[in-house]
Amino acid sequence: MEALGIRDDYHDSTAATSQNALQLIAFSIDEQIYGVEITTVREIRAWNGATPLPNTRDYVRGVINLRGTIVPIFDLRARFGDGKTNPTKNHVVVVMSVGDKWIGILVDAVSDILTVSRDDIHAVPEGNSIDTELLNGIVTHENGMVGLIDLAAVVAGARTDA
Amino acid sequence: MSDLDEFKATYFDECSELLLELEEQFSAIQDGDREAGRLNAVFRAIHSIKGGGGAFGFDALVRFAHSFETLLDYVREGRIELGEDVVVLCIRSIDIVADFVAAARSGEALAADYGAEEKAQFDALARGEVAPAPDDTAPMEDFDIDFTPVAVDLDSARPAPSDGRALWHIDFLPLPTLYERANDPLLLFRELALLGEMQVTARPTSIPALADFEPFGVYCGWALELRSETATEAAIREVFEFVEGDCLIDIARQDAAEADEDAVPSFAALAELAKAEPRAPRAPEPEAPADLTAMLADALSESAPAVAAPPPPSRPAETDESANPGRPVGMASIRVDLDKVDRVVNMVGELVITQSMLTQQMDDAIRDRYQELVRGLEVLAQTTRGLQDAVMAIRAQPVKSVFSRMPRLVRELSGRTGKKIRLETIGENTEIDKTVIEQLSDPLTHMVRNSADHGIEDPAARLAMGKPETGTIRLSAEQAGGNILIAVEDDGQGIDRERVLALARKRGVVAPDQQLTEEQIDNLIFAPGFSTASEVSDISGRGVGMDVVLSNIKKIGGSVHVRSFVGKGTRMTLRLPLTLAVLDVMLVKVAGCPYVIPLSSIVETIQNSRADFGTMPSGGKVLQVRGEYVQVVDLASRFALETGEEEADRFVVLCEAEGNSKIALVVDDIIGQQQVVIKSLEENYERIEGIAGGTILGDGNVALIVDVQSLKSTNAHRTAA
Repeated sequence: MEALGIRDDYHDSTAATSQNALQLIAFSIDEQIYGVEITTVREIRAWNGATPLPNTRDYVRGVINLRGTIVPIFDLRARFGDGKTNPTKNHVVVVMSVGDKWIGILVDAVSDILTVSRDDIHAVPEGNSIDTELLNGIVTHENGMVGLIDLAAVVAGARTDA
Repeated sequence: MSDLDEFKATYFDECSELLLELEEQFSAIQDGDREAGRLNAVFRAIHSIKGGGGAFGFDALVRFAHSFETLLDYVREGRIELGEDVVVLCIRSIDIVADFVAAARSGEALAADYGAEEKAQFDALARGEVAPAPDDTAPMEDFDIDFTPVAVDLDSARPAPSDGRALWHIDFLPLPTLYERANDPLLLFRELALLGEMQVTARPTSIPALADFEPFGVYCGWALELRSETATEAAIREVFEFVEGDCLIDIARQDAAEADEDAVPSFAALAELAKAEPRAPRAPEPEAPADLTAMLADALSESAPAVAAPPPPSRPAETDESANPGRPVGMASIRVDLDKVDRVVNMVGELVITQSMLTQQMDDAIRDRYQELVRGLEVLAQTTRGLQDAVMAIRAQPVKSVFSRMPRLVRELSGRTGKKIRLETIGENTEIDKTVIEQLSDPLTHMVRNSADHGIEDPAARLAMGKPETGTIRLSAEQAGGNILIAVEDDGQGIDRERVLALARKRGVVAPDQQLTEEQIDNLIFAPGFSTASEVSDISGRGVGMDVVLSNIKKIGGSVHVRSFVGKGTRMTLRLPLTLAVLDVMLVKVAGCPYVIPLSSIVETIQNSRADFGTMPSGGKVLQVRGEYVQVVDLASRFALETGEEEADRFVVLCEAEGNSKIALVVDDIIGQQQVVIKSLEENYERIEGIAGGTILGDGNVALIVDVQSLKSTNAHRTAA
């Protein structure tokens, strides 16, 4: 699980396959499936602790050393407002790039790589502001719902609230 | 980046180097070294700047450089004496050329008449003492080389008898490197032809078969005969200046009279020879197609009016190379993007950490069981350390690159203040990491300004005190252990301690009843918001004082020390780390998390049980240490962490923040000292209050670097609010 490195060159070959297809890395938090575009994912690794950061939001679990670079870890469950994750060795950190920054998100497990059509993306129903803020859309996959995480919102929230 | 931009970038890089060289050469010349080589070097440097500038269309730069070059040319020929005034003019002109280059680089426009005064002086010097050379009237002419063809007809080339012109015989044999550097003999000959009437004779040395023909091979030399009234050997050599070392050249002069006698028969003889043996250069390769070789030879003999006496024995290009084994064929240095070097430096930093992590994992059981592994790890440790040193050496630069900006500054300062100042530099080849060098320029500029403005006295005052009229500022650099010491010394009046102390009291930097030692008073000049200039001069009184020096130097992990001797001078010493990549820190623990505090800011550590605490009305604590009360910041509560440690078992780390103010940090435990590589938190996250960055420890975990300065200021802010 730790060495499932996904590189940039992977991106080039898949993007060309179909204009309309969207590949997602799917992961779960409390049985609910969420997804991020596979091209943003840099690495998936097991939770191995993080150095806590003082004076910052509680959903930032701290920073880890990713081959010499310091990468912040966001606790997605805490970001959703459902309380801090109590991480074990079975929890997973998905490292991805958002803009020019690399971040990690702490999730329960990575489940699958999904290929969906862009046409199948539904808008997030109005209602709870947390949902509309953090999700880009919802796709249906094998009769299940997959929430598309808006990574920029996950990261940006930390800055404005801090 | 387009190709042109790349060329431009290279040109500007070269200009910086050339300007440095100019500065160096002229300071030697100013010190009385009138060696001809220096003038040649100066001339070449200006010529290169001008040439590149012309290619990119920097007209203002080219016009100025051209006048400068013309003047230098006359100086070199001895037509203008290199007196003190000319040297001063030249040095000022280097600054102007530098400004032109900087303006061209940034795309800013300088005043239209910038440098006009100096240019007029060049022209006046050139005109006043010598007959105006043709290119004086049209300064740009030699850029747009447009020549009339040289007459090569034998008859017309035959000199008129006794016309008083000297005949020059020039033997020119290019070496392969000449062609490799993209020089073209034709251009040289055209230039030479401007000096007088010239005749060129090709002398093929050995023409190989076409199949073996190397485009850059040397198969032909030339004999040139130049008739000229004005040409001097120096003028001829100058034409070949840029191919010096890339060719074999032999210049001989024949007096007019004998030239007339000799030349005619020899020409006739040559013509005879040519007739008798029109295809002198025979193909050395028997299997080569005869007609091709003949065609080549034909072509050669057509382009030359006559073919010289039988070609010298075949000399393939290789023999030329082997004849000069010491000659560097490739380049001795390469230009590398700093980014690439930085990447290597960072990776080596990681390697060092990984290596120390491996070493830490070794316990006695492993040592006993896997002796080979342990031995391998020891070798790895050595190699890694060697690699780190080698990599840091790549990024190391002599401080010369910063020191060399100072002569100009001192000239400007002495011009503006009317003080006479001489600058001495010592140890300018001392090497420091480039990242440190970059941070060094501003503080050093400020210190030199300060010395010139406040240290050195007016010439009259100096004479009255029995000092030499000219003041001296000495810049020196030396390595001392893991540090670099850079000192700025002046022989001026020293620090006026009474005034400094009075001002410091007035501005609240020092409490009215506080007693300070002389040294402490001297160091007050670095206190924030402190400037001793009673009136704001445009030199050092820019609203920022020497405190900027201190904070800049602290930022790169260095320290500043000042020592003053009343009436004799002041010495300011900077102590800098060899590199910024590695920081000396103290590793501490707060609530089980590792934190590091830069060693440069730590004054001392005290066990809590021995510390003398007091409580303030707000509930905050103060620490009494040697008669001073210092704010106490408990890192655990400041960072909202829970500590399980007994208060008495914790430690106080007394730190010094900007401007000599102190702060006492309370931590759970002190682990030890080590060197770490600084990593940015902002690269992937954001700035965190109280934290200056992160670093990776031997076990691979991240430790946070405590930002002493920001803890101090935020704390002060809180108390106020």
